[in-house]
Amino acid sequence: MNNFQDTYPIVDFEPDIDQETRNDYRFYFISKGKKDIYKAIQYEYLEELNNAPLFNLGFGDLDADAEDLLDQSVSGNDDHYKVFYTVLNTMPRLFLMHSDATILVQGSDSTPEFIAKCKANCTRGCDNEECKKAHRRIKIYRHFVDKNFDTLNSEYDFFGGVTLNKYQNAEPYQKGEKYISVLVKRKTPYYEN
Amino acid sequence: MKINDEIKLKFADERKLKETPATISQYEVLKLIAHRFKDVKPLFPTISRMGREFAASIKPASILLK
Repeated sequence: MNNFQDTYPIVDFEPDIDQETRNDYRFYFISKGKKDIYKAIQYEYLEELNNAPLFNLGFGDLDADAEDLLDQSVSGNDDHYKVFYTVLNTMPRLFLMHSDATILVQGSDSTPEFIAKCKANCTRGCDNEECKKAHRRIKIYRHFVDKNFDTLNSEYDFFGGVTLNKYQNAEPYQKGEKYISVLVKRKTPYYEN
Repeated sequence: MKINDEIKLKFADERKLKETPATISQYEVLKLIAHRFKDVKPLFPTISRMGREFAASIKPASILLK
């Protein structure tokens, strides 16, 4: 996931990076399109899972004027692949610091609140059908994993979850399944002595 | 002070700004932004809440390495 050529330069400023400490890790870059948009990527440490750290991937825009962060915004800067690959490029950096980490990926448009709000102001004629705007973010990740699964699977293990907020099993990732949670782990730690 | 005001203040000297390579100035902007958000935890509350709910409900054994 670190071989993409068309990505933005990333800067990280997390001080005192220590492999023994469970930090949050943050990366920043600027999306260049119709306008410059400051972007942030956060790997938020959640807890120990199977004696290894579980990190939650968050990503969104920084609104410098409002001093706010937007994880539900749609930028419309016509560079979504470049932005997406830039986000993916940070995953190996996290695995370099925590080779046994699990990264959780979800989309902020998968929540019941998002779907309820969307349906209340529906412009897509969803009526009683499934909300067409829901789950679009995780679909981008799923599509990438589905498309590159055979290559990625040699280096990473993927798991998928199909529900939110219920006691659940994640299952070994199967291409084409409509997961709303995707987990990724490295198969083998980078540095084994 | 708003971030943009800080940036303007930082680069108030136009001559200095013109002499500063674009990449350096962008790095400075990002550094300033990162500093301003340093104590904001988590950065993304919606996705953070989702992650914590997931972590509370997942059965750890289901994602053991194969």
